Amino acid sequence: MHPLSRRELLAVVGAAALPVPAARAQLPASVYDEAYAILYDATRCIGCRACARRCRRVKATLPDVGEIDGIRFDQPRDLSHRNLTVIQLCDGGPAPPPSAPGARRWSFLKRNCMHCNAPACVSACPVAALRKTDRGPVVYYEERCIGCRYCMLACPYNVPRYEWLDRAPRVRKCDLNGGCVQACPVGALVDGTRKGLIAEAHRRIEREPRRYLDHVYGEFEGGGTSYLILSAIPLERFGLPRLPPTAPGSYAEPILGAVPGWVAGLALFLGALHRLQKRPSGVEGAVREGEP
Amino acid sequence: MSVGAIQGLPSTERRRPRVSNVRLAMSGLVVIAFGLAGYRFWGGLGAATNLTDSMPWGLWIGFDMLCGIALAAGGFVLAGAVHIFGLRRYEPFVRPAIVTALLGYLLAIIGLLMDLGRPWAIWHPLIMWQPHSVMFEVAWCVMLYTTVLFLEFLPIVFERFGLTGALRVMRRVMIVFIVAGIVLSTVHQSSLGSLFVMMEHRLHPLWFTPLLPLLFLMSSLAVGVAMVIFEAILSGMIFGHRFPMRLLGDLARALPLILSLYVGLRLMDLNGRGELHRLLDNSLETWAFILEMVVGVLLPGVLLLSPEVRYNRLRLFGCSIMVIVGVVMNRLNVSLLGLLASSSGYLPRWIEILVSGGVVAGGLLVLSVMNHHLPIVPAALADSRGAGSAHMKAEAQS
Ligand code: SF4
Ligand code: SF4
Ligand code: SF4
Repeated sequence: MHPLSRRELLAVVGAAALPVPAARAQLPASVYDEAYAILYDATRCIGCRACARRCRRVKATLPDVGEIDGIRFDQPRDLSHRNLTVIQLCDGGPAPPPSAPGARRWSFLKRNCMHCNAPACVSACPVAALRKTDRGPVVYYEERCIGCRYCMLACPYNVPRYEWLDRAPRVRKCDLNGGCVQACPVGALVDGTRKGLIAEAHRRIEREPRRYLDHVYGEFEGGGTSYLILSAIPLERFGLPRLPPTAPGSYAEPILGAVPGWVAGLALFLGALHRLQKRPSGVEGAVREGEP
Repeated sequence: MSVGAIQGLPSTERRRPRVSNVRLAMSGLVVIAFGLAGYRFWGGLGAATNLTDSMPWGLWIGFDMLCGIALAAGGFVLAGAVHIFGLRRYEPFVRPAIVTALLGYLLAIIGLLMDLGRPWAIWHPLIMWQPHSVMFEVAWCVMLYTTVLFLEFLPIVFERFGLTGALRVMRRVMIVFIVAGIVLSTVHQSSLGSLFVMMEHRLHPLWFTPLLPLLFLMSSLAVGVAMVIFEAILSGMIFGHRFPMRLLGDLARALPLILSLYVGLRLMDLNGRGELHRLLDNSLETWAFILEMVVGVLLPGVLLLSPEVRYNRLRLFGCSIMVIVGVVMNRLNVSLLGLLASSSGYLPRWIEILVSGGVVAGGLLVLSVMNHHLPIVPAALADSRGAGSAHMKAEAQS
């Protein structure tokens, strides 16, 4: 009785298509060649935690208090809203990890945000409260954040942490300010351009092949990172993931990319189907039903 | 749950005291939930919940949000069947389904407000765009579809207050809302699955698959139909009058079809990813998966093939409950159980459970009030005003 006019049909499509996202082309990793990066050489690290103490000062975080025999220490074990970087030890316990031929079979690892080239946290965040800057760091904008914590679940390195007991909680993570590099007394941390540091890492491996595994962690992992790690033992033993060289969001992107087509196609299909109904429109029936 | 407007039936008179006791208990739960919500905002999420850095989402996302939205699917399934595919005999179910869907979405939004770390910033996705985020898509779908549901609900209010002019205007544009509502629903139901597509490193392989959005959409179709049947029979039990059994049984014919497609897709997906062997594990996840599939999909799918089940009130009721329970289990498995192994553990705190319970109780209370004051149930089934179409009356008598 009241078939859908073309104008209405267009209105349907238009209304439904409003929030449609466009598919994004993946940036090639080389975009971040000149970005700021940090190289951590685990074989040089002495585990003094000068870097973590400097981090406390720069980021104004409180000590992570632990107690041993009634004496209280700043005793950070894992990343948390207080520990934006943490030094961990892996000796493999009863089963020491395999290592580079000439190296000791235990190692420290300095953990913090990897500052990915294709950060999952950034593509997860609905309000762009996390952003990858061209200079390298992935930074957090507190005033945009809605606190959905999707970034925490999306990060493949389990980096973002939350201020659970805060009334206005923030996501907390390293912002690659480089304070730790200046604090390190033995040069286990160096900074520079990403490209330069990758070259430096490969030079070190070449110079001392018995000291390192032949792998620069972060060169390709998940599309590459701005925090690079040289180590004598496989970092999986610390729980760092083995990642393919593709960006972790790569399943979500085609799904999101298909949404506009789906919306437009389905709206057209449903509109046409409704129009094809030769019977009197059910909608009018529903509305008219109660009229006197 | 729907259908309340019959004042004169003796059976209603007899049952009234029991109903008000239930109401009293539910109101109490709502009051308690309000208090606990205050505590959550005063002490922070960590004080009220068992959430941790390794398990940042809990019951409020898994149950209130994911299940709330899934169980609201009846609204778009029925609107589509009746107004787009022209299956007009199911029209009596449309209004109850729309009202339930609207409430489901409002409850999910309340759950979200409880769960967000900074709920006062909930409007940010409106102006702070990040279209590459699935969560952004989810946020927009919630906002738009809640609006559409409200617009689909308005004619009921207009009708109640006799605003014929407004009704006539609504009638002109209603098809636009209906189409928009269906499109938004399909996008929204599937996007809740897409959320977990980014969690390959966390989610157990029995549930992680790039097909999650499709699986979420299909299961929402099934639970949409099941919810409509469940509500119709339950309201019949509580308020003593009945939707025609033939109609319900016919509607249930859709379920074996959807469920068999669903089970086929899931097995093919497991096989394709080489994870089929996990069904033989003796792990918590495997048992949960088997329970979910048997109770929620296989059993009702097979049983509903038989007319003796479909056209029998109690058996059909049981099957609809199984489908609903199955989808609830699925959402909880994807969002909680499947993430457990990669976390340091999580069990919802009593505060989380009571708040969720309070939210549901509040929804049921609003629903029962609405049922008494708004024309939600077709007149032909509710009383003898005789406003329903002859067609519907014939159905009701059969
Ligand atoms: S490590 Fe995690 S938090 Fe850091 S940039 Fe990558 S995805 Fe984001
Ligand atoms: S918690 Fe904040 S930063 Fe993380 S995804 Fe949500 S809005 Fe973005
Ligand atoms: S300051 Fe340097 S040597 Fe000390 S723990 Fe940090 S990285 Fe290792």
